[in-house]
Amino acid sequence: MQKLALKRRKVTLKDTWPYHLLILPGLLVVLIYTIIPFLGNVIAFQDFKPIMGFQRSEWVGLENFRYMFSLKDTAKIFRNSLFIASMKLLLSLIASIFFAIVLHEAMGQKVKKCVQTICFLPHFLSWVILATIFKNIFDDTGLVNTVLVKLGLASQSVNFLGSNRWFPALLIGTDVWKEFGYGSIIFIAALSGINPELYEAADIDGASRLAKIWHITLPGILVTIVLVATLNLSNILNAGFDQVYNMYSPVVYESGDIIDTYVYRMSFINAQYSMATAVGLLKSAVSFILITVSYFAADRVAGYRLF
Amino acid sequence: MKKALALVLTLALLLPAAVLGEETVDPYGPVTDGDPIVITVGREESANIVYEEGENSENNYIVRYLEEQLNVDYQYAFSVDTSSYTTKVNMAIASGDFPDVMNVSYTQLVQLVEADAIEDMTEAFATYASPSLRKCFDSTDGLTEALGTFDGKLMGIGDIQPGMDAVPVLWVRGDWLEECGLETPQTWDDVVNVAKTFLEKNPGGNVNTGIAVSSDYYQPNGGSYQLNSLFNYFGAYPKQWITDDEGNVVYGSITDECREALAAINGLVNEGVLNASLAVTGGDQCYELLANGQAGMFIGAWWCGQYPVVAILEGMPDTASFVPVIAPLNPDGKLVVCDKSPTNTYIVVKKGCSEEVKEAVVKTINYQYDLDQSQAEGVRPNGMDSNFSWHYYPINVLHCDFDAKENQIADVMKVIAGEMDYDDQCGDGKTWYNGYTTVMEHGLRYAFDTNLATANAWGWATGAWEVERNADLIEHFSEVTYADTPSMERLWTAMETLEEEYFLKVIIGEASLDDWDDFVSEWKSIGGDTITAEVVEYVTSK
Repeated sequence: MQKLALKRRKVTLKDTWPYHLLILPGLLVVLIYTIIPFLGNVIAFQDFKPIMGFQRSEWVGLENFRYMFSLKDTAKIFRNSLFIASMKLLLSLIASIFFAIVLHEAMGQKVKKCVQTICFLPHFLSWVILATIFKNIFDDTGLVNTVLVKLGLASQSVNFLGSNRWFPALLIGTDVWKEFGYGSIIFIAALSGINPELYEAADIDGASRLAKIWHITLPGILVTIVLVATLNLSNILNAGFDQVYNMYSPVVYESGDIIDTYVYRMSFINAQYSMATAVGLLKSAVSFILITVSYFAADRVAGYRLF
Repeated sequence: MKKALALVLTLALLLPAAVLGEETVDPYGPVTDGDPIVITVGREESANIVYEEGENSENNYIVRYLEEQLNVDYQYAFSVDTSSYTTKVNMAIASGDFPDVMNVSYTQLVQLVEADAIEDMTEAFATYASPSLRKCFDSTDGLTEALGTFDGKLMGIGDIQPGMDAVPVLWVRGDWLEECGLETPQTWDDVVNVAKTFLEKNPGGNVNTGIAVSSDYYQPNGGSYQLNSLFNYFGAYPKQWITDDEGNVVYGSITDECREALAAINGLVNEGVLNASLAVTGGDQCYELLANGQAGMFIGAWWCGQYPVVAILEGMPDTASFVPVIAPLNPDGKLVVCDKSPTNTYIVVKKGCSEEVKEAVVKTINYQYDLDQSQAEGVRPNGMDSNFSWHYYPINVLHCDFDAKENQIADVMKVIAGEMDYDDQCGDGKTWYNGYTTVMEHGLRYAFDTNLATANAWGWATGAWEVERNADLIEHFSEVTYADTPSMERLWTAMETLEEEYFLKVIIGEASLDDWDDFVSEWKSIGGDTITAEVVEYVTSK
């Protein structure tokens, strides 16, 4: 009886305002760092001269966008970003899941903790440091080339950092290496939540190890996989500024220049603020579409909804 | 033109004098009798500068000397490394919060002028510029002032750097030449042959690079680890505005000569004379290649005799040496060089600054010019043994006659030949003379052991002498304009990127010259035609 009354009672703002107050700091942060700066996007429609400010800069309508689409660079950076980012997402997801399952299946507790910690470490290293290390390793006279040439696998050293064939692979590979350990945390947690009785039952039925992974482990963490994949989709155009910026050079602009590095060069190096903002705005628009599509796709395929 | 300018300047000089009555202006006098005038400064800082012990860019004997002489107080709003300076200034301009005085690029100058954010320096400059500084500006035939002048007003005081910087010198390991039994290279084939022989005979044991080159392969303003002379050999002047054979104004990067040069340089990469990794090689790495004996050649300005050469030789056995050569000479036996702009940066004073600040800025430049001429003789705390560099200046900008280095080294050689008195040289000439003669007499190791400054002076003098000695081999011409045109501000970035990317790719063989016509037409379509028309208009209007 009491329960019913509680259910029927109407929730009013008067009763719950302290809880609403709790989200105020968060809202303020969003307001200050996201909503207000968003208004700055108006400079995409101006011939913005910083010193003149918003008021005095000339309004040029869609001129910046027209110019942007007239450049071949624009399609290129979107293509590169999408390719690099989606390959990174996909491969590190696979690597993380694989790693989590191997840990789950194959290791004793002590070894497991040890391996896990070692694989987390690269995540905490900055790309500024790692890029220098990788540049040395993949250099003309670096470790990889020395080994390749000494073993006779390559007749002369491969210009990894200066070749459009190799550069994206290098970006993707090193990023997956850096992040797979950290990315596996959530899967390891999900794996420990699977009911052990299921495995026992499978053992009794005489299921092989692979069969158990396929029929129990993977379905057990499927929701988590879809969740992580969906959340990651918001990064579908973020191909990793710090990594690319520290590793690229003009020769590999063709395959390695991404939206973020392009915008950085345009604005902070060349002071083309309007143009840079226009590109940034286009990125937001494309991201929005991609995220919306993938959100509904996730709902359709896996029945998962964020909201 | 020059006469008119002189007339204007004389009038401008007379004008304030008339206002002030008969009072004469002392270009070196204190700015005020009262409390020191505070000037906030935005400046760039060079990483390789050595200061006296306990001193730094803000507190050194030059800054203190100037503060005392002018009764001012320089306060650094920011002093950041050269690599991030442009960005820093862009940020400062964007925020509207910039210091009283700073130096800016031409593009930034134009922006500041358009926004009416900086002071007109015409009068202050006309009133307070010292006669010697005036002489320095005259050495560019009025070009520097013209670049900084908008609507008849001098808005930015340009720097003036020595023109000799633009002459590319080939630096070759002299001991290796001897070891391999080679002559000093002269022609293109000689240069290639030397590089190949170095790679083949491997003097020193770990040669793997023919010529050390960085990804900044063409430097119109001079520099190091470049390929300038290889381009110039073909009559190619990328990144520079020149006139072609028919007298048309054309951008040097899209000429047939440039295409030819790129093909030849790509050929060098294929032959292994140049390393394909040059596209991702920075200056530091080139230094390493030379210092480790992995490369025995590089191309750079005359001042490379000091850095990297002296710095490298210090860590090498005494037998090691670098020989400066003017090579490769073209089939006519000449090296044809397109002169650099004397001016690349402009000193601006923030709108709203007092007359005293403007006065102080011009007077600071007066002193700075003289200090460079005398190399701070008499100001250095421990005589000429103290370190000195023009980067000690509060306004970190060089003013040096456009033809200073040619004259200076010529004087040094005259003194050595006994045709001139030691004391008739400028201060810098004296340091060169001392360094050069000391090293000639006692060897380079002695200089390293006693005073590095002597070794440095020798390095500069050797480089400059090679250029001056061969003056008749070097032909000069000027770019048609050194100013940016209005559309460049918006369009140039993408065009520059296009060029940089394509050229580097062609050089290392990632892209083919079959796409050359596509490159040229794309360059034209994304702004090249517009800007060429503007440059033509600018040139014809002059």
